[in-house]
Amino acid sequence: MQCPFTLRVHKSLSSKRKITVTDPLHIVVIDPDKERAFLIVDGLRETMDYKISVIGETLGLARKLRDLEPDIILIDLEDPSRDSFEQVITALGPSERPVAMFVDQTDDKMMRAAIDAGVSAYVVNGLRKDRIKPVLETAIARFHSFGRMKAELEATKTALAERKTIDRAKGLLMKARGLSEEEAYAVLRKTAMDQGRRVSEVADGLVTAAGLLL
Amino acid sequence: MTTPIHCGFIPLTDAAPLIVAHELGFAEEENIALNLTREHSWSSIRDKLAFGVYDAAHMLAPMPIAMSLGKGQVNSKIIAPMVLSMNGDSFVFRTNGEAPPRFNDTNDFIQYLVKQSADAPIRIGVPFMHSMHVALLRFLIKQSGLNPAEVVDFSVAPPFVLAEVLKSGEVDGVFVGAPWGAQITDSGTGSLALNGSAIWAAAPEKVLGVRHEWGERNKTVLHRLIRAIYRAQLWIERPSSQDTLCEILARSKYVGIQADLIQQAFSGQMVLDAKGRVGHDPLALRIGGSSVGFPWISAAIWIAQNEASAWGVDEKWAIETAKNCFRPDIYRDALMSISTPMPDGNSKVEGTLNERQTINAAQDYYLGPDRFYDGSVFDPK
Repeated sequence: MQCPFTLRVHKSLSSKRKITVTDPLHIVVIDPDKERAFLIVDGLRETMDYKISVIGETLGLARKLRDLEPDIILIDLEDPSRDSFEQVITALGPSERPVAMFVDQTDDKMMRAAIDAGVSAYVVNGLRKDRIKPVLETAIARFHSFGRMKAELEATKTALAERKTIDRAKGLLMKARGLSEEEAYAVLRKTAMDQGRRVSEVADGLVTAAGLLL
Repeated sequence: MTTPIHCGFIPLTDAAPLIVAHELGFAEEENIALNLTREHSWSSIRDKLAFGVYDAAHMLAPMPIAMSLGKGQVNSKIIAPMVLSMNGDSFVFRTNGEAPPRFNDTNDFIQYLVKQSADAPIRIGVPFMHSMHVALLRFLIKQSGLNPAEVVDFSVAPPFVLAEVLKSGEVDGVFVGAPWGAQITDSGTGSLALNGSAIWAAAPEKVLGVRHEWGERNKTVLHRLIRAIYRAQLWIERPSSQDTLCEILARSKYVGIQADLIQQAFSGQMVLDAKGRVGHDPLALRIGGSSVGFPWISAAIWIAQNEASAWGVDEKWAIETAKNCFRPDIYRDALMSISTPMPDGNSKVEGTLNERQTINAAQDYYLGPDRFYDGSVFDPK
């Protein structure tokens, strides 16, 4: 029987890496967005016992990847640093060089789902497909939920900003025309309806105009 | 019926034929709704085209060949039925107190490279490894009897990021497409030393890329798209279009940079450095007119033959693949219905034309110049 220690020594000394089913996969997440990286790591931990590392800063990427010896690398499909990343991995030795999962186009549906979610994955040679699949599925799900979270946050932010503008426009109308709050809002709403615009747009116009005039 | 076509592009001046086809209604005239998406990396465009998110894409001329050879992370048969632009890349060195080589003087440029790489290869930023930037620079160095690997160490970053990379000191110079070179000289970070046009006056730079299988299934749609882009190229050539064009490209959803910086490559009046020295290069970017679009098989072979060993593929196989990637037959079919002048052949000896010249039997098709910097010729066999 081999103890874990000798196994590790053996692994680091061997010129060609062997991945056995018992070794936990080492997944590297490259993401400058800390929140998303956390979300993905969290999801992967729930899926299986993985070894996970996060690279947030792509400076010195080649050295980092050499040290980490990842089995799978996850990176945002839209990340502008992906072109540099690919050049870096092409320069790695054949046994440690990861290849985009896109090379093996057998599971077209999965690839398409990954692309839609904005995930790209790079995998070292010889890794079995059934071991890649759960990782990819988790990443896809987490990318989607991150996208939703961001959209929700944006929507909340916009709503808050709009409400502020409307309040200021109401205040301006109340002061200038001696209206009550309800009356001021009614004026804004009627103007918006007449002009086929949104109340917040009319309010914004009023606030801007007032800023110029006063 | 209107056909939607999804197309990705990188914010660069040479995406203009696609942008104009959409903005000026040339696509609409062909019943095409051209949905353009601004992309942030060539890898992303490559993957999305290969997997059908896009029907068509703005691509570096070597990309369809590399992809068809299974190089660069995907294995997908991509064809280039049309060239979108020629030239347009500029070499910019970081300002370091030393005198940069004389503008567009290839001899001076090579001497500068040799001097700068005496101790270690000079670090050059490029947008992608499967690019004309890399192919042209390697060609220039090889023709001068030197080994590219000993002279240059390439770093990759998207064009709009290269300015930052240069500023940070990670590289000594960048070879980058318009208008990003102009942005660097404008900011004072570097000086413009050489345009790609000085190495090869008619280098295919960007092509329209589509999946081979998509092109087969959508022949008439592809023909319509080619016609729309062709008309856009004719429109771009008119001097009266220039101001409008630069304003359109300047919008944040397209290139997103000041119009006057975009203007430089079109006018050929390029600002060389922060002191405001100006260099003149009428071939800096060739993007308008009726002779840009023809996808010469000889140009595809040039790319394959020059890059095969660097890509680690058999040269013969690369050449055969390249011949099937550039598709003048589709280009001819697409433009036949609008009686466009055409060259007689699909391949030519590259580098023989020092000036503009008619090259077909009907005497109505002009080409050139297509000279190489050293006066050599490339005879595709």
